[in-house]
Amino acid sequence: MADTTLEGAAGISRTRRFTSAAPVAALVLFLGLAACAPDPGNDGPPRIVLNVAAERATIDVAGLPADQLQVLTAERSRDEWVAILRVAVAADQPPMAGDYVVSEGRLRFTPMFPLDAGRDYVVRFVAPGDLAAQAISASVSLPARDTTPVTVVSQVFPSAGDVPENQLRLYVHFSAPMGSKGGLDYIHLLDDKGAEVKDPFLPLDAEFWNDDRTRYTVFFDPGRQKRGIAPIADLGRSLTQGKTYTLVIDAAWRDGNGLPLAQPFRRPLRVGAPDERPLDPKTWTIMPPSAGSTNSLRVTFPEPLDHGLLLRALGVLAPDGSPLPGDVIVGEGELLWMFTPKGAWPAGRYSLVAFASLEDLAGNRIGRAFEVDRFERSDHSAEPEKTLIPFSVR
Amino acid sequence: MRSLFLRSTLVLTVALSWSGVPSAARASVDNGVGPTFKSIGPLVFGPDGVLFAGDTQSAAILALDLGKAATGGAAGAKAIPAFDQKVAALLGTDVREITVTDLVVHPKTRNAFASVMRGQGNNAQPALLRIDGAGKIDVVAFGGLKYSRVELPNAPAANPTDQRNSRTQSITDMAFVDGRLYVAGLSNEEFSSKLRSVSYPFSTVDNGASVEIFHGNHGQFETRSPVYTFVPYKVKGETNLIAGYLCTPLVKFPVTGLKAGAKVMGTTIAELGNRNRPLDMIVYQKDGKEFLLMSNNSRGVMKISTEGFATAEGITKPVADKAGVGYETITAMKGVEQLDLLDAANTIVLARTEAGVLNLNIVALP
Repeated sequence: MADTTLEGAAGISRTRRFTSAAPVAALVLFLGLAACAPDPGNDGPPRIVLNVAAERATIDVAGLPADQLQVLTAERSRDEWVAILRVAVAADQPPMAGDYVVSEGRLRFTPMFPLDAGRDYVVRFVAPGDLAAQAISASVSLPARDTTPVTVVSQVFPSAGDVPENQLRLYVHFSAPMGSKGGLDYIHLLDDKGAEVKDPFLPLDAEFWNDDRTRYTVFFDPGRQKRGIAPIADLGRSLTQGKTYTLVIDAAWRDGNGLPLAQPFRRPLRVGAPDERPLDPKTWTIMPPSAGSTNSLRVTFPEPLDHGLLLRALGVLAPDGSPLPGDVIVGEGELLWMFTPKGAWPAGRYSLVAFASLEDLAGNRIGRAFEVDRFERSDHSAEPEKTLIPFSVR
Repeated sequence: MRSLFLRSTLVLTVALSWSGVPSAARASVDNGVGPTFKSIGPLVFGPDGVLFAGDTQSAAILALDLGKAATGGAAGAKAIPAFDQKVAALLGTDVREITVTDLVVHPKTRNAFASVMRGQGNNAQPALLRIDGAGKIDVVAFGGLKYSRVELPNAPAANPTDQRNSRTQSITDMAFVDGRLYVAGLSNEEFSSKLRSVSYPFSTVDNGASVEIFHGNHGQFETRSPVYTFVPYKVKGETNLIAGYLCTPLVKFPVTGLKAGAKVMGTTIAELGNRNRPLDMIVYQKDGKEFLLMSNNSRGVMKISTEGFATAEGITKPVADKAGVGYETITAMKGVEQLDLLDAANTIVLARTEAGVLNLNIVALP
């Protein structure tokens, strides 16, 4: 009376047998792991098998007599297949999409999408063409993943926690890949009295992950950061100069395994004066290395620059004008940028190259502040693509 | 190591004029059978039933020949209550694991197609669904589909050897106009507004035009507010894009001006209110007149007569909340996240109830 077998690495299955396609009893006949359930092959009686031997787990009906297998090789519509072998997340839910095939002496259902770990799937098989046939039902599931949360917020930039009143964005870094949903439901800004600031961030959702989903970008709503216009009556500014806020990230934010964070994150944000000046490379300090050394080029800034853009929008051109390969380190407080070439520095005239996309914390660029508040005063000319700042290695 | 203060050095601005940059780059195009997506987002049909699907995570666009999947179902589309729950069951998972990213209607069969992401994180998988006139939901198997795929070039890095480039760009909306696909996107590092055009069949991707507007609601001239959704619309016989920006200027600009590398000055024809993100829009006709229907995340569905689009003066001064072309809020349409024109009399929408359930509804055009 063994109706279920588990194969491959692991799996859990609970089987029920019904007669005449009507459930008369729900008997849990089997509960176990593959390791303790040797495969009895394709001998009878018919039973539902969670087959985890292949890369994608399949749901098989084993133990079918040869004449039934022959009948099952005919082509059928999806609805006809579902009447024979139905796999669903619950008995009252629509059947799952997947492919049906007779293979290795079994009827095999390959779900269109991999089965979720730890989720129960309800399976029901009725042999075709035999009205007196018994229906076999089973509940199958892959083992649940480890449910101990381990992912944490590893860093938030700007790292110093001092921001201008018109701060444009925050980068939230995680120790492991996160889920695909956006994070605004889990990110809060509390004022100096602990009250939540309403809607401080742009209502954008899932688009702002990096490629491996370990960094999420949060944009403050520029419409609430403006100078020179009355604050929106019902909301006010997101950040007010002179106050200290607390950035709170809830532990409920789910990671790529569907687990919450191991702990919530809190970081004070001290708000200073708004920064409405364009970047001026003349205020930067370049400390070139000595010729023949492998020391780093060091560039310091009078104000923190955007961490993400410092990694991408600054580089070095060799004396012949070609990009110089090397490693970049952004120093503490995003006030320092260090560049170490792959080899030693030959003497010569180099250039620090700053792409037009480089910004400070408030989104100001070289020669162009984030805000231009008068239409007729705005610069309609094309932005320079890059700025070159020469330096010598001697 | 010597310290060098830049005050004493020459700072060179490389005024590489945009005209000096190639106006359209030969694109990386891949043709084949069995497309793959990292993520599936915005959808738009071309006139011949080619379905353009944006892979938002890869910043790529795939043109899909749906083959039998385009014609296999009963014509039309039918309302489906608890659509997200039924989709989750079909894909073998929980409703919390389902994100519906777009909804469009096939120009001939009037079947609805929805793009869906199943699951979380890097294991999330794309799915394309067809909803037919009998209310049947089918998963379109990518395996046998012919496709053509083009990548939008990512912005270059100043240090090309650095492997930690975390910039990604995604696609927020697309429209197909006169043989070209117009694409609006967002970057996770730059707050910017750029529209690219891609020729079809795919061969080139241009560098994009910066679309600048006066945003009266923010009291500023603003290049950088991202375009969120847009539709093509003829104003006095000239094809324009009507674009909805964040917080919520409505802007028109003629497509003839969208030259690669250009800075295009859009005409802000309405300010539809702050604290708002436009989600989707369509153009339709009723009683001999034309209207724009736009869904929003916080200000409901707006019906906007296009009568004033040709004559509306551009808004160039700060406004407190709303200005320009007016609108009517369609109170009967609540929680609309996606919409498309189903036929001459109806729109098909995905609407979320206050309880959080996502229904597929068919609503008579207002």
